[in-house]
Amino acid sequence: MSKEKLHRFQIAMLLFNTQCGVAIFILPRLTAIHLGTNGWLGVALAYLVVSLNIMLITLVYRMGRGASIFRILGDGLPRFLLVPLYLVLAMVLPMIGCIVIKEYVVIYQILMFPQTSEMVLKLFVDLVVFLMVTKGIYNMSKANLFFVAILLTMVPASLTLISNFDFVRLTPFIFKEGKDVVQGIFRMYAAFLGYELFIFLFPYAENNKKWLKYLHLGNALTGSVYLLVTVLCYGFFNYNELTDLAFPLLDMFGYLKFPFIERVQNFLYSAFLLSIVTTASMYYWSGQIVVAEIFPRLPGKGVVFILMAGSILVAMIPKTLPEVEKWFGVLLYFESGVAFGLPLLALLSLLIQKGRKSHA
Amino acid sequence: MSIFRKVAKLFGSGKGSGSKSPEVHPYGTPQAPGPLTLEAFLQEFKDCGDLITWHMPATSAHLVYFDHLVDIPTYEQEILLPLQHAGQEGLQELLRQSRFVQTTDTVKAVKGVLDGKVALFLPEGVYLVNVYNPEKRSIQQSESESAITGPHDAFIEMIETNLSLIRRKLKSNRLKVIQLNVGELTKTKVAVLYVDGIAKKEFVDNMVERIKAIEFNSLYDGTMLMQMIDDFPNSLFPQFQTSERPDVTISKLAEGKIVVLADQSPSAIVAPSSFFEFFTTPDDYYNRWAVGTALRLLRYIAFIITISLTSLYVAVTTYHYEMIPENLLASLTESRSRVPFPPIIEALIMETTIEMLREAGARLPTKIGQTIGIVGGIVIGTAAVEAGFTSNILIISVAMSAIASFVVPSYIMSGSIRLVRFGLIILAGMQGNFGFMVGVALIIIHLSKLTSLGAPYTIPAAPVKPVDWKDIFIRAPFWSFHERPSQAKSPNKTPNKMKK
Repeated sequence: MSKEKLHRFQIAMLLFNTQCGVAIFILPRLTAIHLGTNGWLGVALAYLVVSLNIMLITLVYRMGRGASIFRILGDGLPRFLLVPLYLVLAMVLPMIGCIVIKEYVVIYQILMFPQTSEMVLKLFVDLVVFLMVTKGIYNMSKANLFFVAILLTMVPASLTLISNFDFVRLTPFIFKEGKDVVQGIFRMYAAFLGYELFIFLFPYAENNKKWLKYLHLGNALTGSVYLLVTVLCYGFFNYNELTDLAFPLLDMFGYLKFPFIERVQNFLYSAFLLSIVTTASMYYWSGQIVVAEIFPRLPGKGVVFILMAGSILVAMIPKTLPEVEKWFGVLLYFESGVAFGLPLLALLSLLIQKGRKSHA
Repeated sequence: MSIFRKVAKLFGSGKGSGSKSPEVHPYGTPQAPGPLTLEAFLQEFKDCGDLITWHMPATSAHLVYFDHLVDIPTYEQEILLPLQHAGQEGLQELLRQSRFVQTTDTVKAVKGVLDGKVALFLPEGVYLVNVYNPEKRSIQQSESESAITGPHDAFIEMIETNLSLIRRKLKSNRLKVIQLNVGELTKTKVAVLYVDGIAKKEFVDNMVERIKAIEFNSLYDGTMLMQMIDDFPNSLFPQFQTSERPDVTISKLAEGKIVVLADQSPSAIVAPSSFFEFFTTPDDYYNRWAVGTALRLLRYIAFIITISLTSLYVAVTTYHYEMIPENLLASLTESRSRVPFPPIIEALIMETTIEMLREAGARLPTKIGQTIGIVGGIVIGTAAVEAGFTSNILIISVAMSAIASFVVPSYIMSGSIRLVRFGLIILAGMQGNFGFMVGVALIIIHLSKLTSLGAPYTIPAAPVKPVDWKDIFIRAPFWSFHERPSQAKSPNKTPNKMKK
């Protein structure tokens, strides 16, 4: 792995692309179902929750003076408590990465290749992810910059749809007809997940504290993209339509026209592979370094291979999109627990250390 | 052991094979080691019919040399005539001149004569005099790197001339040259050039170390040397830029980069290089900056077209017909309807044909090369469409990607890009847009991994160095160039006069 430190801008973009996932395509529908009219406001609420959580992570960095999360935990808490936690993380993190890919390919299968097995498509993505993870975090962040550059070209493309935007469709009511506001906010929050992995990034980031602000920059970018997407969809389709459309964003992109090409939604969904690769890679990478903490002598590539092979086998069980989403939902509950729990545990460990020092 | 080495070993090309036969002695070691005498020396050159031995009874001197390696007028003027006219005292005075280097080492003497020196055997000892000046071609324009404006001189196959071309333009005693040799048999001279105080010393040391570590029989060109010292020898992409132009070379030296010249080669290697540097030409700097910028952007567009056009055609016509606008759909289906093959086969056939045309054109003399163009363009292009072999739109797409690939200024990079394109076409044929994006992701991941002399290959895009963008993605006006590029990691980042 390269000795070079991650530049703060690279971290911001990595955070953005890790957060962005398949959720973006179903986000407008979820908000419409759970939050009701003007559900896009939920994005702002979820954004605030995530920002607070990121602040918690930065607090760990500041208090731990840049030490790695494993050292912070290890110095304050007994190893017999930590090893089971690490083992669970080592199983769940790659699983999330795997399910992210699975969801993406299952949707792809629905959209374009109904006769191709989703596992064939998944193996293609797995290969890319494997190559990405084995290059190490520094090279991953470099590749990610190109991915983000390609993905962000979609933003100006989506702005061309603004002529079809109508404020009347937004309605003056807020959160009416929604099924469950709390559930809705949680689903929106879950769409932001991915930032919790950056607690593992402490030893790889540049040594000053400037990069902590860039975590917020990345998060803000995700927030604004989500907001843009949901607001556009709410103004493009009417509220009732939104609750019925499976992938409103793709339907909206279906109206895009260029001189040589039109109905580009499939192409754009394909391009979204670049986001999925980063998201999944970050989860696998986190899984890999957790395993390295338990078994430091195992070779990195071998660990990634075993993690991927294991998760692929498990991922063969869910076949349809609802099944995959159900699995995903369970994992997301767990992951949101990790997002708050791990920094809190680290803070506890730091306090224990502090207590020991003051006694000594 | 990497899989490539294993395969290489299977084919018997593993390291060290073939050099174990007992008769073969290590090259460069005299066959009869011992004191340096004329007999022993001539024994070394036994059966070398082109060796000249000249005996001068008056001074009992023997001159040994290769007449095709030495400059005959100089030799006559500086050695032969003075020797003929010198008495015993005059001879002593002559030998005191610094041109006459005394040696007692047989290896050195043998190497000296091979390097174009005249060996002078006298009862007093053996002297070597350098009068090297073999036949060489004159300085001409570079065929692979021609420029419309700016200087037209280019390197030739002689390191001394090339060094002179550089020294003429870069008049600084800080320009340092480290001389090395590569190739057990060819003993090719290699020079590592850098500007002291601007180039990063670690890069220079690293480069010298890599060149010294080369264990190879023979070296014929700088581009070959480049492959022996690059960071990822199995990568498709060249990791060092090469140039035949002195102006490019000195501009790189001034940026704090290192230049490696090999004897018998017109290609200079620039290290470290970034992927984006392969898309720059000297013309960008000699034109107005706006024109330079437009040209540079054009090249990036060409790169994207080369990589993607044919593969997108395959993806769209195989899986995503809905993406084609209605007006275009009619003409496309009409021309596709007569083609009996699936798009991927059609595209691969045409791409291979274009590659064959290019290869044939490159190998044939210019006059026949033109005929090949006509044959290819008219016969294959038109006839293939009329015969229902391919669709017109594919011909347009293939031709456009071929043209776009030649817009990439570096021929080596252009070749790599064309090869990568085939991979993308196959992936697009397998899985449409999805396959295409998988290919794109693979290329990006691979490029991000690469380094050039340990420095990131994709700089200044990743890692991000916006300061350098003005001389990579665009060609900003000269007044905005305050700093040397980040990749060179120069200890003297800002030119002295610009420092505030």
